[in-house]
Amino acid sequence: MTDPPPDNELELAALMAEHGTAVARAAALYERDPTERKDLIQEIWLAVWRALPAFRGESSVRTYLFRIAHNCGISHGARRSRADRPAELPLEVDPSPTPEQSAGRREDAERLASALRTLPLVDRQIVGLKLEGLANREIAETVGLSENNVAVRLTRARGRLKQLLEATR
Amino acid sequence: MNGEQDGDWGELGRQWRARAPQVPRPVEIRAHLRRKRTRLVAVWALDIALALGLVALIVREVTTDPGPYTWGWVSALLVFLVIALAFSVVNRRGAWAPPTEEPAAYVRHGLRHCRLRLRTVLFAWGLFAAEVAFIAAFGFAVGLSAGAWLLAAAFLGTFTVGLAGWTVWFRRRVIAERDYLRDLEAALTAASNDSDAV
Repeated sequence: MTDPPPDNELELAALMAEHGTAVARAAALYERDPTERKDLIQEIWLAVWRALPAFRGESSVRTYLFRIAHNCGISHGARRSRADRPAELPLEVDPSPTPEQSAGRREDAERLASALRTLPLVDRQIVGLKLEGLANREIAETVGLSENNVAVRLTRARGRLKQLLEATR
Repeated sequence: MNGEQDGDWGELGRQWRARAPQVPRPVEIRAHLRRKRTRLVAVWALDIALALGLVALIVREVTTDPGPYTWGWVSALLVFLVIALAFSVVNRRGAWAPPTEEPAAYVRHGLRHCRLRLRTVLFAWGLFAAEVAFIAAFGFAVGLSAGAWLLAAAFLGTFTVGLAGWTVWFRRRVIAERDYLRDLEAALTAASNDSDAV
């Protein structure tokens, strides 16, 4: 096993500061166990560290990061052979000004997580990226599908999510 | 995408991004790498210790009893070792990492890895069968005593049970992984075909 180049460490730290929570949320789509999820997150960052010298700027850094994260998620899921099982997403929520707001956010996040857990893996990836604010073109680049296909899948998934969220309201 | 959909995704995105899971620090990544390297070094150390032990055994046998039978089993042992090493090298060639950072490439790479690992099981049984055949032939040629035959049979029986247990455990693991990847490959192919039809 080769060490990643040391001069990448500052770049990695900057990426982790900027995209760390988004990558951790992506990992939560693949692993429900908190300890395993922590390992997966570390694997992702290790993969990013190694991949940084090969990054040629053909896509945005964020797209590249998510691609690595989801590919690591695929490998992790294969090793555990259980990525399609419902993933218990983490409960951590940003601190809110009031306990009521915090409780409300947690409840919303939990309902969304439950709905996401019912989606097939490819749709879960696409929706997860959409929820991170990626454009359809970036999602298409990340998951290796066409932009049209991503749009169609998002429309279907949105309908399904909406139904599920209304049913649990 | 229309405005209503954009609004829906915007609201869902805000809910999703309200989650703020803990992010590892670079020092944790370095520790993770160190743990992985330690595990690899331990495996290498074990391999080297086994190789040295084997060489010591061969040197001792050849120097204390340099007869034709000793040279016979030493030569056979070396041949089996070379075959095992050659298989190990050939079976891992090009299997370290997917060629590109694409989901389909990862899935194909994973499936290839599964095939190679299942091939390892077949190879292990084939090599074991060849070794048993050699031991039997060698035993008859040397004229082993009944006690020695019993000892050899007990050792080989125990080893067979161990190998069978490992085979069941290992195959189950690899097949579960292969099935997961096949499902994913089918889902990706269906998604691509869907894309062609759109």
